Amino acid sequence: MVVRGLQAVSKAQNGIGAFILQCKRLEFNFCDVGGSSRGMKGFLRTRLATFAKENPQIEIVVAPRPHKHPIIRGTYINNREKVVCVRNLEVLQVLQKAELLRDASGVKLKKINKPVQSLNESVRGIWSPYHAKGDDVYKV
Amino acid sequence: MAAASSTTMTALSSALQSLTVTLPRTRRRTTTTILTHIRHESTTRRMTKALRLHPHASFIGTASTIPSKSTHGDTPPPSRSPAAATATPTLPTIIYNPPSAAPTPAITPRLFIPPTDPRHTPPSTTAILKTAPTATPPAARPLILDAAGNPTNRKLPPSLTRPYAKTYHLSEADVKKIQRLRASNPDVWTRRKLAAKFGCSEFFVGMVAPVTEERKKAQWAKMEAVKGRWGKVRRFARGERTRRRELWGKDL
Amino acid sequence: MKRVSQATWDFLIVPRRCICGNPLALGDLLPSAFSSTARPSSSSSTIRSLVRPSQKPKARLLHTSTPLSVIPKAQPTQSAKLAALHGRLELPNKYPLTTLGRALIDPTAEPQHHLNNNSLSTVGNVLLGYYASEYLMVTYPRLPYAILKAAMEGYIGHKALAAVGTGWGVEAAFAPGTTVDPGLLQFNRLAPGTPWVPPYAGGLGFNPPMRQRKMMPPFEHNPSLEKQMAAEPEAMRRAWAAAARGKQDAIPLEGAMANFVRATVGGVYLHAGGLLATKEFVSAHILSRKLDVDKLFQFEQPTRELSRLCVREGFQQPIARLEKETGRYSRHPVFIVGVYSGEEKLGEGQGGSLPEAKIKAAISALKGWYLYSPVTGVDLPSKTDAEPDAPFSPSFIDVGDVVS
Repeated sequence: MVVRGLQAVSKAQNGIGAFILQCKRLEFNFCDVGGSSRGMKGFLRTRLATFAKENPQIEIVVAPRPHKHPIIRGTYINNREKVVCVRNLEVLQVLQKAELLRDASGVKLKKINKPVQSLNESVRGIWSPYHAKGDDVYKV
Repeated sequence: MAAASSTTMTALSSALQSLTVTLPRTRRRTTTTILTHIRHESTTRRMTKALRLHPHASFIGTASTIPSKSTHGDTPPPSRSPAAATATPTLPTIIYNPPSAAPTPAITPRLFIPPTDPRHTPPSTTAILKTAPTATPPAARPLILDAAGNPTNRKLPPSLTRPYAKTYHLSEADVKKIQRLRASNPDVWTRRKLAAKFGCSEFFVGMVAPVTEERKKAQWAKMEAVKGRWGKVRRFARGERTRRRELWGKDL
Repeated sequence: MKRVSQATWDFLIVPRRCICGNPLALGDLLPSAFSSTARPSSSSSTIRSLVRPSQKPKARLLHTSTPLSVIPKAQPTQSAKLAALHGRLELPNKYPLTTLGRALIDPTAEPQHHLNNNSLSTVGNVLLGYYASEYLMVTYPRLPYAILKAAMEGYIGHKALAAVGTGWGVEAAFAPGTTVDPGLLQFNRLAPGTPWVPPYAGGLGFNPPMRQRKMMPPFEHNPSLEKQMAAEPEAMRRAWAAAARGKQDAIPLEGAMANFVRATVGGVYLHAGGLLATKEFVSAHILSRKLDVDKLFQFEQPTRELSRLCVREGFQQPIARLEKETGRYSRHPVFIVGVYSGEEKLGEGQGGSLPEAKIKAAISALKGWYLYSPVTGVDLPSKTDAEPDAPFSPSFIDVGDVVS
């Protein structure tokens, strides 16, 4: 055999081809008695059905969390969670938080310094002093 | 700063010099905080000036280097040749600036592009085998031919080994003789000795007169015995060398 | 063995055609006490334990004598996870949730073939192999067979498909059971360290003995794996035997996830619009992923192979030429060697020694040959699946691998 194949696994490039929303579950927790859940309960009554219909990709869970502030807990495809406390927020503010969690990727927040992140190699290649031509030749 | 005051220097050298001036200064600072942003010049104006490099030669005359009409009136764009001056409206839109980087196999060599491909251009005639290989070896550093087939004064890079031509000088009787000698006493008539005697390669000797399986096994056992006497260091070094040699084949 | 949950069964127990050809009637699926039109006792299979005694048989008897070839959508699932997965994959409404739920049941969790994803994954595997191989063969017509296999494995092997399934947000149940949500992947977990033969190896149906050799990483010394394989010949033999019979009672998560992805593709073919929809689905989810085909090569004797290639194609013998060098007598020299056929440069390599640079130059030249790709505009053979009369520009066909 003159040439052998090495094993490799293809890497995901979400959005090239299909796009998979990274938020897979949103859990809405509220308290029946607490005043801080007022906006949350209003959201659940008036907005949640529309929100769920607009986002069929997300599994919606509504659960009581007695004697605690209301929260929204997003679970992502990378198995991380993102939790936002929505105490004392109005209905539309809760909706905004839900949309924030929906649009998040679930990746740990980090500072991105490079302008481009890519799996592809640079088209122009890595600069090499041995391949310069004309005026750009360097003595190495 | 010294670099900013000297007007005769080019922008590049001034930038380089300012770099050499400022670097020790930052090193001398003994704070523990990490400097996230280093300005190489004291002011924005000086920084801008230092970065104002001349465009690369291949960009001169293109749209990006021609001042727009709104700011500079109706002056015609600077052109390098009188022919270009007469035909100003059409500017080159594709700038071919090959990168200073190692070539990648993703760009198929010209010789390997099949004639059915739209990118096909006829390769150099020197690359095509027109007749059977002759007995004269090719030159180590041939001259590059021009389009008409005449040699120019440029040469190809030197070859690593001296090029040789295959001679095909051994007759069937010679091959028989090789086989007989090898079979008679393989300890004396080794591949190397036979190759030297008949003026062929050791590979050829191994091909026409392979040794018996018993001798192969005996030689392997001999080699294993030698390997058994290796110490830890040599064994490790040999193993690493083999591993590195195998990694060449991956070329990742 | 643990079986799948009651809730999952409730909507899966619908009459359908069995893959062995005979239409299944409800009499096969229900206890004979419940079925008034009792089938011959020979065909009555046993799922008595699965139907609750409190269930009313009347609702079930509707389809008793009407064999259906497709799964009716009469029983909408109540699983939010399943519905969310359906929405996440943007499957059309034609794709029933019951099929997606069935795709999540591995044969190791439920051996009855009309209730697990075995048949769906078989269909899906064939389609995946078709679309991946035509894509690779048209994109890289000169790819050697070994590299083509490796690239197929990289796109539709079980590792890659498991990554796809995980990327779809599918979660696995700890074990198949009566309380499991139908939106979870159900399979019987393989104990760690147990040998296992992945089904549909490479999508091409290789023989198990070839797989066995492939399990050893080529050229890499892997003493731990060798020791493991030598220590457990009996377990290995049993795994091969089970794989040959097509009956493995446990599977790792990776394998079950890959089976689920194959079954989903099979479901797209069956429900969402045939070959055209499947092609779109496969290219969107599988072939759009990134795989560097040029990183799959491992050459043994590249200089000899290049030499044979030039003889075969009628090119001048390749000659390695030193283009640049620096620090020849230093600790870290660098040599740039180009390989030329006549005046034509075929490839270039860089190395810390002359042999290394020469070998890398030959590899670069060979990759230049093998990775030739026609310009875009060449049609895939599957173009004519949808419209047989469509204009078709055929692909480049190469003579084959270099044999040396």
